Amino acid sequence: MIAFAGAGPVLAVPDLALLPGSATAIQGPSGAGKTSLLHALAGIECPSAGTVRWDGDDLWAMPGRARDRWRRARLGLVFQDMHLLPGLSALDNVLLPALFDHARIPDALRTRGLELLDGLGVPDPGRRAAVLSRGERQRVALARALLRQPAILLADEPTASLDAAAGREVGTLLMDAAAAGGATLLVATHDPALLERLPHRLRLDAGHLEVAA
Amino acid sequence: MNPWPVARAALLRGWRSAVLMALLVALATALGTGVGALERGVRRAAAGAADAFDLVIGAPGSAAQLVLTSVYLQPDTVPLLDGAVVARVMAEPEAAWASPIAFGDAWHGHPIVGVAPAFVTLGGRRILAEGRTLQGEDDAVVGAAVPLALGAALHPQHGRQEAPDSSHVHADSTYTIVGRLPPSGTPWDQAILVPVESVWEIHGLGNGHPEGVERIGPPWEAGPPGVPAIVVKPRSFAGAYQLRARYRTAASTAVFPGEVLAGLFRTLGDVRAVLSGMAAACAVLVVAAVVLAFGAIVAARAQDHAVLRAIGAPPGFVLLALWMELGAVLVVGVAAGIALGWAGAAAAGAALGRSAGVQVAVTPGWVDAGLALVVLAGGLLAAAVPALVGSQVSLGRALKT
Repeated sequence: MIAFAGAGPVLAVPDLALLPGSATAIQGPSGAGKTSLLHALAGIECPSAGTVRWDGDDLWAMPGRARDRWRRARLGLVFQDMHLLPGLSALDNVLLPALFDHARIPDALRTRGLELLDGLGVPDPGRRAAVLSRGERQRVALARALLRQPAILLADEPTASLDAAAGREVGTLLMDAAAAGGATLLVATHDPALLERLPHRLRLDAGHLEVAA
Repeated sequence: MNPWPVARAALLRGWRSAVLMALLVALATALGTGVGALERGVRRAAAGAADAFDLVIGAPGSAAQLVLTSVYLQPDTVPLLDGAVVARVMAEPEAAWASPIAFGDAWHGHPIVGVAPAFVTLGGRRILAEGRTLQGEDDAVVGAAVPLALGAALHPQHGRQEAPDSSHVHADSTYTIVGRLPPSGTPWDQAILVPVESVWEIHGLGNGHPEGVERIGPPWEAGPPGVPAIVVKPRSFAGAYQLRARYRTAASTAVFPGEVLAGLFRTLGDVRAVLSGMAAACAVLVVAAVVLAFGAIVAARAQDHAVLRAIGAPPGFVLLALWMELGAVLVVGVAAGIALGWAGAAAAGAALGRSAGVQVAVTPGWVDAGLALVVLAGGLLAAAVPALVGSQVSLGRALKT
């Protein structure tokens, strides 16, 4: 059970179980609580009640440092607004999580970063993030999330700020990357094209979660 | 952990505000650095200029004015020391040498100073840069900065104006340049030294020697006319004090220029202390303002820091990235401020030197940078506060804004 309390309970999820390697969509209108749910599952926002367990690890029972380590090791996050550092190059943005643990980026991670950008269709890894198109920036953000081959991939409206063509492409890349790495994928979206392609769909409405048709 | 690329990216992104903050810090620290360096340069230059003047004897009056007039050649009307006292001083056994200093005339703004030949060589201690010393009444030895070659002739002009009209020129009197002093970095580089006898004669006072005697230098058996000052090189330390005591009378005053300068330096030191205090307060205020401004920048970038934390950055990583960002601004600002302070002090010293005729050499010294380094240390300490606040961002709230 996960709950967030506000003036009244704003989100109440009695039970949610995700199979390892599954790909699931959460749909629902704006303000339904999709982002709050993802934040709780990512160890970002502490729910007022309930537990979050990934492979038996109780996320909110961990000390903060351990939760930070868990996010670094197990989780890939993709945001609607990409949130790249505009002063860094595409490659440096992808390699950013490696700086949390290393004074100097290991060659193996640098090679993986370059391969990810190449595979996701970002032609010039040395270009500054500030000059990339929105579609390119979302691919760089996706590469950043995939750098450490996460077991869990959470994406919050990954196609919402892209045009239809770019959205389709990013959606495909996201699903392919999750499948290739065997990651559990959970995507909050109201992009119908993306919803259609995800095998499992949940609907969150007024803070209540149900299996969508 | 390596937060520097994140700090560098933030600096590049907000380079305008970073440059502005560094400039403010630089200007604030430059003031403190420059004041100290300039004061030290002025003090050294002033002391150096008085090196050749162990004891100065003049008519009763202001000791500071006597030193300014005789040592620094600052034009002023000073009362004349009576000729009888001049004769007595010149005959003192405690004096290794002594020389009258007589002003009045000039050549294109360069003061013509009447002296005894001993003054030209400082009793044998000073080697001329070229030529020889004074031997006849028409000889002149120029300072290093006087634009006259050996063998050139000049007519003295009354007063010190740079372009006098013909009515002020002593056309019947001609000096020939026979020697040049080495550069001293003092007002004497601009002076033209001539025998004091010729200065007396031009002004109708005779030459101090018996009728028909044309030699130069003491003794002046006919009784020398009065002069503004006499510079004396005592034979010994004790002799210097004896002479000073002997000529502190109703008819004369005797001063050690070093003693007068010590008083001036005390005042200069007080002024420097006040200016340094103001500069320190200014630097502290500027650094406080910069840290506060950075705090506002950190608050505005809360979402960026939340993203870093969300993708796994420990709070310490964000803290260090922010601390390095402001630290880099402070380090660059303080380093630029130290350089700017020294450059400013050198420029101010040069301007001051030009107006006073003293070469004020401002040399960089770490003692001047002390305040700047204290400001830097304080700033780096204070920078930890906004960095800490930025690292403790509420992830959920910041990511939803």
